[in-house]
Amino acid sequence: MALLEIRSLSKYFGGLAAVSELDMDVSESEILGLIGPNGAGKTSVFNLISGFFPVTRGEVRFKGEAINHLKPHERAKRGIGRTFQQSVLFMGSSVFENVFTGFHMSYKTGLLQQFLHTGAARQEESAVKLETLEILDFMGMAHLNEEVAANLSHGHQRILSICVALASNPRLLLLDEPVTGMNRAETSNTIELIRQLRERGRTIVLVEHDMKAVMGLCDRIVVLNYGKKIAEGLPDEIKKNKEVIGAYLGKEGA
Amino acid sequence: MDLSLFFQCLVNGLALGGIYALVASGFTLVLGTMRIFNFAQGEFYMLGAFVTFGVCEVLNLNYFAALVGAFLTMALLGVILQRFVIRYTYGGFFHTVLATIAFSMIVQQTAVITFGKTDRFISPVVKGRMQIGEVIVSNDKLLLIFLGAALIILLYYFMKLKVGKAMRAVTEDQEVAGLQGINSRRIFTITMALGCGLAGIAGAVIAPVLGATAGMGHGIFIKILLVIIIGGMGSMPGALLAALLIGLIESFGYQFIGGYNELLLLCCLMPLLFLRPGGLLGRPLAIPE
Amino acid sequence: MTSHMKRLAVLGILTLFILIPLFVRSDYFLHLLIYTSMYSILGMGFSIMWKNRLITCGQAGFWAVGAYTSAMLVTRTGLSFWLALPISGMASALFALFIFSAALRAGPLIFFMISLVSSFIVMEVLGTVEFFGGWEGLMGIPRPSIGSFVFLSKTSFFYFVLALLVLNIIAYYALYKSRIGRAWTAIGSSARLAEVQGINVYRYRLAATVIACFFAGVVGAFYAHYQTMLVPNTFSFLLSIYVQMFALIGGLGYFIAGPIVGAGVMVFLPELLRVTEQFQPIVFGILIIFIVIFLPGGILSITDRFSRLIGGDLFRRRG
Repeated sequence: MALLEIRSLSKYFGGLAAVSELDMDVSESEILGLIGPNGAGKTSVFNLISGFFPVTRGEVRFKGEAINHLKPHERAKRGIGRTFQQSVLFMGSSVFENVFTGFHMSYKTGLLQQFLHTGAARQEESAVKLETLEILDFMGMAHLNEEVAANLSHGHQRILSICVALASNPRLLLLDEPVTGMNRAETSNTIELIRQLRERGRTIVLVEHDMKAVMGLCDRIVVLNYGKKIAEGLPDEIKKNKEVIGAYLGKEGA
Repeated sequence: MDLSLFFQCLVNGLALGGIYALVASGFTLVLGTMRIFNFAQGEFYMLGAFVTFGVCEVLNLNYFAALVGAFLTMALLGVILQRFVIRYTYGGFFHTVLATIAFSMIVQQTAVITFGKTDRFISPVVKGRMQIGEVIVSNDKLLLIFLGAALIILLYYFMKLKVGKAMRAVTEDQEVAGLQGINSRRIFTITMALGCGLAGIAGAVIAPVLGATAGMGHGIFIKILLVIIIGGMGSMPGALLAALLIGLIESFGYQFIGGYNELLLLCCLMPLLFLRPGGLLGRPLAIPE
Repeated sequence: MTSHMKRLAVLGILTLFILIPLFVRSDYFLHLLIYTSMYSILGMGFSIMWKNRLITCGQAGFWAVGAYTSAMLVTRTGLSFWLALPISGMASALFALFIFSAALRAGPLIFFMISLVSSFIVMEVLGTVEFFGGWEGLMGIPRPSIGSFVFLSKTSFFYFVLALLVLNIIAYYALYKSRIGRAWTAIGSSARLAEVQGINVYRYRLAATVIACFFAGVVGAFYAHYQTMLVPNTFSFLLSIYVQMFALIGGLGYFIAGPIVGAGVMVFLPELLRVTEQFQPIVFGILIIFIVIFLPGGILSITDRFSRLIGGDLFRRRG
């Protein structure tokens, strides 16, 4: 049983199909790349998996459970985390606060305990603070703890998005264009971090335009065009796939 | 209920509905394209009626001049509001709403102080009644429907013009519209002018029947909110449908239960609000997160 | 300002307020302060919803529900005022739940419009339906009493409402500092991100709304027994708009102090400038336009150099 199973997934806006009859499996601990020309429906797939778009047809199963009817926060609780194409952050808060807030659903002590400032509540809060620092450390952001998110460079904002997503301890991490807009150094650094996230047991699906990054990082690749899956396989296979090349060239010509 | 009364209610309802549709369309255009919640829309309507009074009774010009005058003066006032107040508000949706609220408060209270509580009446544009069989309907109401319908049709075709399409493009996505060579700034000015002008001319249309009162802006504003909530935002057909519905409920309601008709209106519409908070036909226009 | 200094300042101001009736002879001045306090509570209700990026234009309606609930329970069923007080709060809260639970799912803009319409509906219903006293309203609402002590003097009411205000402030402060408060801040900053991190945005927003309306209802009950009469026209949607202005004038980023300062300004400014009731909307309108253009952070943003404007650039397209 795969971690994420997608069967005949379709999303229509009026008469327009954003996603059409998609079948896709994501296995535990793999890094799957989701690529395709602009407008192919990649972000729509993410929105469908994370619960921001209601499904028109088809099914999404996570850990064997059908999650079509679940709202985004319920899916987050089940272990699906994501980042967004634009850096969606708590812009007015500091780097530390961003990630700290991200831990919201992990608290076990009740609200009443929190109000009364019991020992257990305070302990938990300290533990969360430590975990926040751990994530920031791991991702190389700890030196920017106090910096306001809005003031960060683009690259740092992208990394912060991943940090916040990690706070929800996701089994499945959906990264939407994590390295877009980054320079060479930032890109290779982030690629390495994503690799390490997989070493630590997370499953990752990646939407990206940077082909070098995708080919180097992903175990498998799924290619979309006009909402349909046109190819699936190992990076080497995809590189040579005529249809895939045609899809990209076709878009470039237009 | 006899046939004549039925038709009178029908005519009243359609006339009212048409007016609501016009004012609401102006409002929803500005809201959709510029994300400005123009709280003062009702005041433009009210001033349109007063301009009509001024043109017809004080300057003694004909009614057509009043219609044009109301449209142009209110379009101008709207652009002034946008250029000199709204453009300088920093801070987002709430601040612009309050700016329009403040503007409406100032305008309305000034009108109340200047004109007092008494209505200003305009000598009828068309006199007499029409009779088909048993049914008697007064001509001025028919004129209302005629003018209302004419303006709605004009608006419909306007939106099909290049300008209208440009407005639609800007509503959808400002950036993409820019890429298509559409000057958003100019579109905003035109939209605001049109939105407020529509309210003004609606006031001019209703003035011969209802006269001009300082408080009429207040009253219609709630109605157009209901129109937008029921009809859905960004949907002109939805607004029209909802406006006619509301006009008819109001008209027939008044006949049967007099002062309670407002209440009836709300009771009829409340279930709709709960079942389909996004409106009948429109898609909810969200404030982006 | 360290938090230690802040605490001292707050205690100092509180002491000052407690001592006011000793120094001030004017009943009218106390009356104004009582209104300021009531309006502050309504304003803080607006602010808690604003924290969640919700704009409400219906606070007057919920104030009315509380006022009428208490007035009618006490005058028609003889229920003790002290029981009616929390019941009025709950009535308001339930009414909010009824009106908003569907509206909230449709997005903040629909929510805003429904809150506006609800304010209007409440006033219409209270005025049209005879059961509620019609447009003439209710009269002869008894003053509260504890045993043989009856609240008669302005001073006694002043202390009463001050107690309500302080309780309100403490409640909101505790909420804001808690995990709930952090969730609200997250929602207000980016509802999408909050949702993805497991925060049930809908439920937290509903909670904020219900809490705000509960307190509005409680202070409504106070109002009814202070004025001893109620007229539907008091609860117009213009008043709901004034409540928004309290928060804006004081400063939208200051969820507790902002509405208090704003309410104070709007109650006392007409007195200082000797503005008659007729001209008040015009004066307020000009004030609002001034603030919106020149001081969008509100009055308190002058005093705090490091204030941050919350609710910043939602939209850029204003032409």
